[in-house]
Amino acid sequence: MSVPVVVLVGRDDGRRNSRPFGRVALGGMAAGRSHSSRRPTRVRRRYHLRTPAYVYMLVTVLIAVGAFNSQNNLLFWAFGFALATLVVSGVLSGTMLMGLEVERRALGDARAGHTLVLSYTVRNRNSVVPAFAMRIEEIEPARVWWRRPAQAASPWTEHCDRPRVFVAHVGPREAVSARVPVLARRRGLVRFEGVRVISSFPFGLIRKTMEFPLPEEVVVTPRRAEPPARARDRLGRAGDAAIASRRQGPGDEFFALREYVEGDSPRAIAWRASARRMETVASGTGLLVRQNASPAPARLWVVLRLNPESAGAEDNERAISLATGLVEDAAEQGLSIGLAAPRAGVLLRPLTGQAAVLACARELGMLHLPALRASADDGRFPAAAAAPGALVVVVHAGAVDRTFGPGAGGPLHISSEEAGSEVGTAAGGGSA
Amino acid sequence: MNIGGKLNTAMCWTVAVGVLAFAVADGAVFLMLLGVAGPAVAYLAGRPDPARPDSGPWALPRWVVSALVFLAIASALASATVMRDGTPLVSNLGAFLTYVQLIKLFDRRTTRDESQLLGLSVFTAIAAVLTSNSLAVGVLLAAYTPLAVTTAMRMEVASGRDLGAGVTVMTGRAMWADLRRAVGASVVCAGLLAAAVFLAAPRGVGNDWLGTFGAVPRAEVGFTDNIRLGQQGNLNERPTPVFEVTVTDGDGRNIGDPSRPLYFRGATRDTYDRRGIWINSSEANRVSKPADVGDRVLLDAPGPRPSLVFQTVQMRARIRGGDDYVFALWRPTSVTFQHPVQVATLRSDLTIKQSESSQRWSGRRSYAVESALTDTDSIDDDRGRAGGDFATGPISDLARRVLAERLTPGAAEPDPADPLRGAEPRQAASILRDFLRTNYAYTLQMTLPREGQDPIEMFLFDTRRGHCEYFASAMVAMCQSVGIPARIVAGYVATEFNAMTGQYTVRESNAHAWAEVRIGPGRWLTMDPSPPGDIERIHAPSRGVLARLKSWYDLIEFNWNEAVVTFDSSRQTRLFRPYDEQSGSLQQAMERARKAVRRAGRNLGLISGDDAVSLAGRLAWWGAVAFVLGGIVYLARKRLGAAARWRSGNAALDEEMRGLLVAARFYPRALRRIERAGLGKPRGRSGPAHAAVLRRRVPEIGEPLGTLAGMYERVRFGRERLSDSDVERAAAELQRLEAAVRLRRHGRASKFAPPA
Repeated sequence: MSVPVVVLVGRDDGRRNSRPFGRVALGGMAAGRSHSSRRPTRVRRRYHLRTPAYVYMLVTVLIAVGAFNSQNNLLFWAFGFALATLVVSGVLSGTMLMGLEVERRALGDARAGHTLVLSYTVRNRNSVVPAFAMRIEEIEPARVWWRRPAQAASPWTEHCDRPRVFVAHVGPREAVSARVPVLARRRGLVRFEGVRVISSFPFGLIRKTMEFPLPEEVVVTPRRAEPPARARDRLGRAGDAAIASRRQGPGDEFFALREYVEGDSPRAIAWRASARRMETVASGTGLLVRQNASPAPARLWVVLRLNPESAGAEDNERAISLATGLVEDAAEQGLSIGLAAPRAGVLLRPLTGQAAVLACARELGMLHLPALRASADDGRFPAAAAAPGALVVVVHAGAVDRTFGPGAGGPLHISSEEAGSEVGTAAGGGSA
Repeated sequence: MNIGGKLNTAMCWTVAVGVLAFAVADGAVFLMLLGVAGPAVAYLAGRPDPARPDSGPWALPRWVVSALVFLAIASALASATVMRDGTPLVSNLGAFLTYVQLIKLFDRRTTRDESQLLGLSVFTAIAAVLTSNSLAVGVLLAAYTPLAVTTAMRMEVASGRDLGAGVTVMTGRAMWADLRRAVGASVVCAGLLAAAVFLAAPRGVGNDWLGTFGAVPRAEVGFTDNIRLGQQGNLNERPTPVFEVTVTDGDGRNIGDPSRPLYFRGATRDTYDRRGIWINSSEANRVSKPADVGDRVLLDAPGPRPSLVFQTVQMRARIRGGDDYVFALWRPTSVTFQHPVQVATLRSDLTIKQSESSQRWSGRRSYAVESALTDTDSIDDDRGRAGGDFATGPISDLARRVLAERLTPGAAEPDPADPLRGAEPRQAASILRDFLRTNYAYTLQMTLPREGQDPIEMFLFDTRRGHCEYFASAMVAMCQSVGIPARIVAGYVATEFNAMTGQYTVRESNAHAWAEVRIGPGRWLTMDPSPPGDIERIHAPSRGVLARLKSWYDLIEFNWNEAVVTFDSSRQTRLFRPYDEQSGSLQQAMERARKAVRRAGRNLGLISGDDAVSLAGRLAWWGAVAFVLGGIVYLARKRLGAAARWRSGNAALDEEMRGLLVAARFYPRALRRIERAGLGKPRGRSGPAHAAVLRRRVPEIGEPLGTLAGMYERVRFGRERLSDSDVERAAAELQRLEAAVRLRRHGRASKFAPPA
């Protein structure tokens, strides 16, 4: 079962890079913050005359010339109305846009090849003038006019289709919102800069633009590639052996008996064993409480050996997709999963279940390939993954290098070329 | 109806009204029919199919549209160049625009196509303005303006479809109602601004710099001073208005009377050339000079104890193909023009010609004539011929015999030496007039005389039937034959008095010819030999409902012409004259205010008064009252609307629930308050959910709203009755919320706000 994940990260979340390892998985399917809930500090308004406006002004001038030349009073009326239309157009549209606020929030799950759902809310704070016919666009990174800190995230234009939203009407003191699905073409940390509202209401003569800085970052997780059959068999066996080590926990199977302490549930008392004990022990309450056992999951380390050379970008992406597939399959088997990508400086301590899937998908989604470190030290096998008893799967970008490993015990080596079909490829967008 | 359907409706209406305006201006009946039928069919074809909501409206194939447009272009070019049938360029252009619009109505409709269609429609409306300034065109353009604005706005709202499939369209509540308000506000504001431009735009500047560009062809009427008898056909009975005239006495009182026809003379003719043509023997003596606006041209001295009559004439049309006469009652003594003209006066018959001065005038064309009804003996000249070609012959014989019979009954033989037998010319002329009235029949049909036959003799001795020119010619000929100077007068007989405007409306069909007989030195008597019954039948205004409607239409048209069409620099100057110049002292201003109040009362029918109440004033006052009342109703409705919506929303609930919800009215009130603060609850979001959203954004509003929403939901969905403490708490929370909203909206807290 694949678990698509989206993680939203606010711009001012300064801790994002301060704890590179061992980040706790974000709770729930989606989490994060954006600046959308804040009122923008500065909004830029621009007015552009469109081609019809030039034609209109030319006709207006001709009407004026005709009126003055002929002293035709209805032409004077027409001239007055033509001028008034320009004025009304400017005033109405200016007033209309003056009270607008726009929010954008990324919702739900996003995986490369799937849709990312953006929620747009347009609020009209004006108490009298309604707003009509507005097109909402995401501002392209090249058009950003406000100062912003240097960002590791790549612009949304490289990852997503353009959201297409048209707001036909927002009444006075009204808010409308809509969810807009856009196709996320490739994984990565995606940055949305701001939102532009465009309207040429009421007469299509003047195009008015308002730009709201609404920075927001979204992680689009990688596509999933099917692991090869030998890897799936190995994971399955590891899952079956998960009972090898037991410990007290919330499971159904018996683990041990212990002395009753106050506060224990009466339902947990092992009455028969307590009776037998009371026959032999005269002191104390003599009650024994049953403890259950929970299986101790086997540990899996997925080690991603990426190729720092630019020529290996495609292999790297395939390896990342393969790693995603391994993590998801291992989570299904109940394994505890750790993730390491030495050249990218990623080391995620083992977690289980959905928390593991979320954390790994997020880390894999945010891997920034151009920043891979090529030194030999950075390319060494991570010591944490070399702990005894753990199953290690090394995913190689490109050809397998069997010398890469913990030394003792044989890790499972998989090449990115062994990756099966990628989920979401058919939905559009090529693999990055 | 979806956005496309609404846009189609507005577009069809806009095209239809625009085409109708042009067709009415151009008098093109075929285009009128097309203007109604084409958009109607396009409307039906453009309606969305309920069975296939995703399919677009029906449209002609693109190649058919292109071929038809090409045909229209070829036809327009041929009409303007090869065929050259005398049709004005604007008419050709308007017809071409009409055809293209009607074709494009059946084309596929993207926003670009809709824009082109609207642009063509606007150009058609401008063509209508260039073709005519009539009231009908004005009314149609007044209807056209909001339609065009509506279409433009709907087009913008519908432009989202150009973003293609997959676009997410967001729409708020009551979009169409808001759009209607936006249209109304835009039209009103644009109309006021346009009125300001109209009033303030300098008149007279740039006049005629580019020739006829932008000029409106004015209506022309068929009055002619060319009195030619012996032609076949029918006389013109067209009701085209020629001028309107107000007749007042020396005290300024209107002396118009529907039972009193007035003869407005234009040209005179006193010499007959035996070919059926009357000419003016003194025409060469006409003296020409320019007259500017306000210049008073003296014609004759009024004489002692004159009974002066003032006529203010406003021309509605030009006289076709030649000189324009000043129409006045006998005897005109002076004329003052309100437009620059070249005046040509003839002292012998006191007729005045006016022609265009070098400066083309497009404003109001009017003049005021002063006439002395009491004739004078002070001027003794030889005006008017006597004898001439009629001294001998059958006409003279007839006249002498008639006079002999009537003046001395029993004396069959006329006296060649003294045909009048010593009678006064007035008496003799009256006898001849009565003879014609009683023995000849009036008809508008004209008969061709035999070869070599004199038309007057044909009338007198052969057919014994004819129209006014025959009667007048016969009268003048018989008078001249017995030595009484006489002349034919061509002009208009005014019979249509509109009591609402206090004006006579003179139409083309009121053209008439009569005679003037010299009854003494310098004294001329107007005599109409045409049978009075026939004259009344022909010229009397029709009665009945239609006639009454027509008179109302005339009234509106008069005001339209006064206020819009003929607005010129002189009226502009008067309008913008400083208040102190107009008003004088404060006391005068107070007096005027008192009169204005009384006039308002009379106009509203609240005060009875002697003054004539104008319909325009009455309509304006009642309009103002309706506007104020409408505003009050609107505000009241807006205030009460929220309560009504609350009631109607609860109408489906059972009695007990409605009773429970009475205590929860704080909730809709809270929703209204947050809506005013721009934090309205979107549709589909529950109150608690919205409160949760607000709690993050605006906690000072979200918190109390959450409490109130929770209490409301306990009542609405838990059927729980609120306790007194709950109600008190709700009131406190509502007060807190209102204070927060007020603070957010105005940046200040209410003095009633509870402490935080």
